Amino acid sequence: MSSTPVDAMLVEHQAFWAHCAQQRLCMQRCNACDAWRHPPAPVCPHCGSTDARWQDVSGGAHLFSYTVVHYPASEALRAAVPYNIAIVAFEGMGDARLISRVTDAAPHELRIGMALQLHWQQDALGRWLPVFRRLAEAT
Amino acid sequence: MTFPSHRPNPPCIVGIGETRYTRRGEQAARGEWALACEAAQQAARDAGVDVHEIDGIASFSGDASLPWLMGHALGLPRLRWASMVWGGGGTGACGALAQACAAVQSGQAQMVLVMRSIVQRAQARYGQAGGFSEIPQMDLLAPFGMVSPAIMFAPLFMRYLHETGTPREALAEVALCFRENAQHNPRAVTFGHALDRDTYLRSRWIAEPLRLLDCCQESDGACALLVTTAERAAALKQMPVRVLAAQQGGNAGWNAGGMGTHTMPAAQYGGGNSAQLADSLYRAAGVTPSDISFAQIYDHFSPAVLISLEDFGFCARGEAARFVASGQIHAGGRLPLNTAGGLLSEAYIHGLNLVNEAVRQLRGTSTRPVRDAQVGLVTAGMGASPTSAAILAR
Repeated sequence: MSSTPVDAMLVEHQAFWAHCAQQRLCMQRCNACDAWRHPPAPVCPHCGSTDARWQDVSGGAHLFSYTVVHYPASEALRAAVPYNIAIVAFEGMGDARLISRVTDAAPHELRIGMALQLHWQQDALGRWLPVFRRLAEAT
Repeated sequence: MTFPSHRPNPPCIVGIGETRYTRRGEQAARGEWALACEAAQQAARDAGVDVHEIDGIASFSGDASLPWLMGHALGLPRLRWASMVWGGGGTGACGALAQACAAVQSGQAQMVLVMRSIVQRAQARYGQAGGFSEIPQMDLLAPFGMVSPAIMFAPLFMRYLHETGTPREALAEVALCFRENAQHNPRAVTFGHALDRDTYLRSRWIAEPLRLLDCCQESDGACALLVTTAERAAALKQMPVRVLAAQQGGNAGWNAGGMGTHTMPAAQYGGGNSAQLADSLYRAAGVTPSDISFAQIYDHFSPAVLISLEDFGFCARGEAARFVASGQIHAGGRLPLNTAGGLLSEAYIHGLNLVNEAVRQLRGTSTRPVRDAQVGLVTAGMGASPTSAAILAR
């Protein structure tokens, strides 16, 4: 849907998108204290270390909050409305949340707390975006 | 009665000015610089001082009317201090006031112009994609369609409503109250356009839970005020309005918050980034919430008003909807809010117009006067960190 271009990017963000291009959702993790952090940053806010690695996100995902957008804030979004934006939280990763979307739920089906599963979609600019679908209940 | 000041001789606001407020784009032919000059000249006239007495300028949100442009147009002979407060939108409205106070208290300047001038051209609308493209985390937001302030704030408000059990319809009370206030204020862009509940409830969704009428206007206009020392203020024609406290602040961990990646601490997510600021502000001013006669609360979106009422100690968490529904925020209530109409119904001048209205209340010249108004609170945009707020008194 959205193909909103981005003018500039912090150098700290480049590795995040490089991993996405390989369909890997990775976030920064401190090598000194193991705390996850997002958005990317040059220093660990918990311990001050500058030593970090990029690690695949593996914790269970859930919908922390969301909105359903009805008004297209750009021409590029005119065909996309209504669309949702999901704030996704991961188990064991604290406040390192991801802004994304849920691809298989109608607006009225979205619920704060619902379990989600990562998958990948390519946008009109060719970027691979980490997106989510509802996690089927275990039977 | 004069409310006692915590600190002797606080800086004072001695003049206010503004241009006509209009819908966006209507003053594009004049431009932001001309509007800023008009507002500054009006503030000087209001204060009864020669505009050439201005020796400092403070603004926020990257105002385009640079100090040297203002110095050139107004012929300022002694411009010796200028300060820009970081942060998009109205986060710095009271921060610029705080800068001005610091400048006059430290002797770096004596008569500081605080100003904000906005012309929203078709290509530069704050409510559209690109209006806040300078946000450094935008590459993590925009690919998913999170491109405007309404969309950025909506999930925060959604979680607030979810956690507190506040129904979406409760937001109507805020929008209706401020529109009613604006019907007494000829400066308001919505003056003459009363609003009823049915019209509010029929207004279209922008980004749930925000309807069109939960979102502030898109306006053109400029706003200015003059800050000086208590000594200089005592010699001027207007009753000085004392700045008991003006501060910037924010909560721990909120830095990449509402206008970033939504990674603030979970417990504060559905909040306003102002609890620490409020505590510090009240202590600096030497007042408590029960001393506040009225408040001008940054209402870029109506749920922000509910959240701010809680952050600034007027209601317990989750109680704001009941408070506004009880009529306490209307003229004559316990805490009249946004008595000129606020950003929702007066104009969107990034909240500096809220400061001007607080000054009018304390002078007794508001079009929606609060009886015996002694102390007022003004809050600024809560999106980025640090945000800001101020407490003013007669």
